[in-house]
This record gives sequence, structure tokens and C-alpha cells, in this order.
Amino acid sequence: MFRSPSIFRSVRYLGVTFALSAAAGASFSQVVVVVNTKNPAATMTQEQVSNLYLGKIPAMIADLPDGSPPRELFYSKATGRTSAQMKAVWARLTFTGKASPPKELASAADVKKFVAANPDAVGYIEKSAVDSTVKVVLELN
Amino acid sequence: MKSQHRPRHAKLLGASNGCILFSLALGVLGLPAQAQEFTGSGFASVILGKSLGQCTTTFLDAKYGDGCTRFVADWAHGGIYEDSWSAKPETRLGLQGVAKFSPQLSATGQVTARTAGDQHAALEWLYLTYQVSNEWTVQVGRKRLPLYYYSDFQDVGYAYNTIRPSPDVYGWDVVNYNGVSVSNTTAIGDWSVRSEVLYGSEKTKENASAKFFSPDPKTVEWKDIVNINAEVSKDWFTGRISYTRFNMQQTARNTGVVEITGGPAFELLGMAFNADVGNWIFRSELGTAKMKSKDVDARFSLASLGYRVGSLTWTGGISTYRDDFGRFTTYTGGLRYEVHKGAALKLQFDRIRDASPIGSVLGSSRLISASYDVMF
Repeated sequence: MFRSPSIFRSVRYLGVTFALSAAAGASFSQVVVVVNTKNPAATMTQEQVSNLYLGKIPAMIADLPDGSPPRELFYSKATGRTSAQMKAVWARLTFTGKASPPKELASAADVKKFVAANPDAVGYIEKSAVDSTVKVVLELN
Repeated sequence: MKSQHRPRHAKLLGASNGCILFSLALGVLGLPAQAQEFTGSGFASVILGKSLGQCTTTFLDAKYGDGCTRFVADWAHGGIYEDSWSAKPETRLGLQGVAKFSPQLSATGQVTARTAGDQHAALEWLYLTYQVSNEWTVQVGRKRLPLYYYSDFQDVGYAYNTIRPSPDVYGWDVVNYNGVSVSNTTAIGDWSVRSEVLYGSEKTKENASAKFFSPDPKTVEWKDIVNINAEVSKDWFTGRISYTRFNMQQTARNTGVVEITGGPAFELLGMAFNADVGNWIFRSELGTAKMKSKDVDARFSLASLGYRVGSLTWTGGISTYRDDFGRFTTYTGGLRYEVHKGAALKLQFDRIRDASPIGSVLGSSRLISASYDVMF
């Protein structure tokens, strides 16, 4: 009881640390689908996003780098497919002239620039990277 | 099998119509010499196989009579396995280049080199794409014929889980066309619909399929080809229907005698029902081929079920082909392993039962095959 102020301080410190890491963890494990701020769509369904990224509907779509965690997370949540299955899907489409694959960009910043520059573009980024240059239409978690 | 005789594909000659169309289109559009953007990609398969089983005599040409068993894996290109291990029948390399002239206009070429038969490289695809709008696309030139679900990407082994789409459904003597295609891709709620109409023709000198049954080279032409197809999908379901109609002509090259011509058109119908639910992969397809004046009335089908566990996908399937002369049932068991990024290893066992009413057309046999499929 006489040490309580310092114990209290330590517990508070630990509590804050836990809260911070929990918050960071949650942001990293969430990806969001973003479009141009002028895009009329207010939201998109997971089905619609899946159709775009499976090449079933033509669109200007952006990808994060192959093998990166947000990309793996995006595909598993949005399409239910593994990256090998996605490669096979796009192999069929590109070699039969039915669709062009998504544009692979290096980072969330590049995806935001791409989306901001094209009214029809669609991309996905980690939730923590969202800012006012893009509009979020779907959260995947 | 389907057109009775198996003519032989001639190197790049069959592609001459496609080249002419393509060049005309380029000229008419007055394209600048330099493309804005050029992308290269490709795919390859190295496939090894061997047939085995009880010795049979068949209707195949005498050159296939020495051995005990045979398995025709690729009708269009003369790919046939016999009793000793061979990588010749199905090994292939495809190289594709796309030149983009503007956001709406691009040119695509795809050359495939094969070890089967005598040909070394053939121009499979050479076409101009004009994106009229978000939904409408026009393509002019040479492409593969989308007769059934796997038809136009049959060469891209990496894109599917078995070593080959079943020859009972996918064995055809002509697989390309030179002409025009108009397609529409649209969304209706959560459904995506892609529909296409195309018109064209193809002429194969020394047709590969005809060579299986006769040593004399045959020219096989499919003229006035009209194909209408539509594919719809939502969530786990994909369905496809297609109708193809053409006039066939077969000429014996050595004598110039026209062996097959005129009469009502050849008509092909197809319907596919596919499901991808969690780790399960279901594929099924039904098809018919009819040509009244030549007594061709064939029915064929396939069904397969696959299950993915991590990097392994197990697939079991059955396919059939039936007409008045031939009756085949093929049982398939295969395994696919994602060996590294963009590459898969496959192992497969096939058992084909030949119960043809006229006697062994190909003979019953078993096939062991293994493949390494990549894309780059």
C-alpha cells in the first residue's frame, strides 16, 4: 500500500503498452478496399470486390507486392483463394486475352497515388495507411 | 475421333489467314510503329508419360501397330503415348507478347513450340484487341476456339489441376480460328456474365488427327465457324454454355480428292457446371457433336472432384465419349503439388476403357504421366 503509487504507475504503463500493441496488431490485420474520392460508389460488397480481383469484371485494379502479408490477407478474405490459386486464375485470363492482371505496385503509398489519379481505380491497403486522399468502400477482417 | 479422320496441323501455314487479317487491321488503323508498353510472359510444361496394359490391335495407322498399348493425349497436335517413356507427346513452351498502343488498343501474339509431331513452333494467337467500352471488346485475328470450358487455355497446364483436360471432351482436330470476336463482360448484382460471339475459319494442312488413322496427309478446313458462348459466375458457382457451328471440308493432299464436303453444318453444344467451395473443386461438362449427313452424333462428358490440402490438390475424375463407332470411358486420379511460386508438379494415372462397337479404335490402356508446369 505504500508502494501503491509506483505499482499503480507500472500497471498503468503496462496497460497502455498492451493497448498500443493491441491497436497496432488490429490495424495490421485489417485491410481495406479503397477507391477514388470522386467514385460514386459509397460501399462495395465482398462479392463485388472478389469479382474484380478474379478478373470477372473489367476494372483498373491495383495489387500490393507478391508475397506481402497485406496481399495474402486481402486475397484470402476477399476471394477465399490462396496465392497459387490466384496465379492459376490469372494465367487463364492473361493467356486467353480475357482480362489484364492487376497492376502490381510497391507500397500502400503507391496504391493511394494510383487510386487518387484514376476515378475508376480500385485498390487495397492496410487500414493503418488510410488517409483523406482515398475513400474506403469495404473493410476486410 | 470427332471428325472421323485425324488430319495434321501444318506449322505456320494454318496461321496465314490470321496474319493477313491482323496486318489488315493494323494497316487500317494506321498504328504508330512504336507501342507505348510491351509485356512478355509465357508458360511451359514438361510432361513425361507411358502407356501400359494388355496388348490390343486397333484402327490406328500401321505406324502405331508395333507396340502393345497407346494413349492419345493431344488430338490436335498428334500427341500419342506408347509403351516406352516419352516426353514428346505433350511437352510445350508458349511465349506471349502484348504491345499496348493506347488504353483501348493492344496487339497480342502467342507462339507455342511443341515436341509432338513434326512441327516445332506454331502461331497460336495473333490478334488485335480494341476495348470499345468498359463492357465491350472486339478482337480480330487468330485465336484458339473456345469450344468448351478449357479449350482456349488447354496449353496452360499451370492453370488447372490435372495434367490435361480429358481428351474425351477436348480432343479435336481443329483448335484455332482466324476471324473476329465480339465480347461483353458485365455485372448484374453479384453475378458476373461474359458473353461472346465469333466468326472465322481455319485450314490445317496435314492435319494431326487424321494422321493417327491414315498415312496420307489430309487438309481439314472448318469454314464459316460461328461460336456463341456465355459464362456466368457468382460466389462458388460458374456455369458456361456454348454453341459452335461450321462447315467441314477434308481433302486428301496427295490426290486432291475432296473426301468430306457440303451437307448440313457440324454443330457442337456444350454446357459446364463448376463449383469452388472452400477446398473442394468440382468440374463437370456435357457436350454433343452432330453432323447429320455424315452420321456423326457424338456425346461426351466429364466430371471431376478435387480437394486441396495446403500445397497438395487431389483430383479424381471420369470422362466418356460415345458415338456410333467409338465408346470410351476414362478414369483419372491425379495429384498436384505447388512446388514453388509459379510452378506445379503433377502425377496422374489414367485408365481408358475402349468398348467401341466397331472394335478397338484406340484400344484399352493405362497411362502414367507426370508434369512440371510453370508460368513466367
